[in-house]
Amino acid sequence: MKTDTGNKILAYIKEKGEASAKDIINFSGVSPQAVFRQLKKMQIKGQIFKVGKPPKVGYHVYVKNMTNQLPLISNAFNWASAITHSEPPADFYCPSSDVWQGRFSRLAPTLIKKNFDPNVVALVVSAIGEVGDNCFAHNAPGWIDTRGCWFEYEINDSTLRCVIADCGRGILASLRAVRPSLNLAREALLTALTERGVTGRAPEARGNGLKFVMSVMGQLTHGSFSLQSGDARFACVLPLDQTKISEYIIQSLQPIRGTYSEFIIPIPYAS
Amino acid sequence: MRVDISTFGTSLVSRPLGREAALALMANVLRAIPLEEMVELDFGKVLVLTPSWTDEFLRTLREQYSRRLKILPSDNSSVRLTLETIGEEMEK
Repeated sequence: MKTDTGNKILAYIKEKGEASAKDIINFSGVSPQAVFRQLKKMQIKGQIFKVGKPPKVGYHVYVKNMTNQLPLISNAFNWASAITHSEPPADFYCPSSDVWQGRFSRLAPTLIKKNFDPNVVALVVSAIGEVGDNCFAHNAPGWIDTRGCWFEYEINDSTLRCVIADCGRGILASLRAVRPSLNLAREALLTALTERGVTGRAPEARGNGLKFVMSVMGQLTHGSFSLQSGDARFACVLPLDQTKISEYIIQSLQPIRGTYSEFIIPIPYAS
Repeated sequence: MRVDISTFGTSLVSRPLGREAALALMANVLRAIPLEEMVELDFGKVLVLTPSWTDEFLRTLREQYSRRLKILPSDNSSVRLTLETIGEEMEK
């Protein structure tokens, strides 16, 4: 199929917001097989992503500076943004660091067993590891209500989607302990993402984790990453331009007390 | 002496576990080696490395073995980026 058909499909999905495969086949006038081939290519390139499971699957376009309409693979965001928190579903609930560690440590071997590129797997999973570890390092044992985190991932075609959420005190409250001048969630998030050695755990020598995550996002070439705390949401399409991190922070209409992170990363197969 | 870091796990994250790994290594292995012997850290079989684990691991080891540590070369992308992030260098 020619590239202009791909561009037409991209424009069509963008205009509709969400389009099913049937919509796209009807619109494009080419064979279903050719459309599915094209959709798969577009997913691998990181142009579009799928939401839902058969028979209800919708295709969406990745957009720069994403607003609040981010794809969710589960109810994790609703859970994180609720005022009171119940325990997450057992399959995704990590009430303590050792449960988180156990589940996290299975992710990389699972992906490598599926023959995904080990170097991309290493980068993506290391970023997930730092984000997940923060849920415990910056909250335990002073949880406000529900302890632990929601850790969920799925591998659909060749795209890894992973969400990590906690209902802890959030980045602003954590950093304010060492930098009382911080007033806004946006300022705190930008500080956490860009300033080395700034940590709510000072005077311990820490504070590299989220900077490392930004470096990983600068090296990955496809997909998206978002991190929200309070009403500040960092959301970027990859690769991240690390000189413009502040431009990717937007105000979310749905604030959360703790943190919510979402990784949507197409991973190539090992050559 | 060469230390296979994957004996601590293949996905290494969290500061407490990094510190514990270093303390165990010092108590159970390094204490018994001659004072002049170099300690070669081999990350070759590690799948995923993070700055939190590595910074704590190396910081703890350096308190006693500062001049005797060598980090062996690795092609793993997370090992490379982690070491770069925490300002450590591999042997060429």
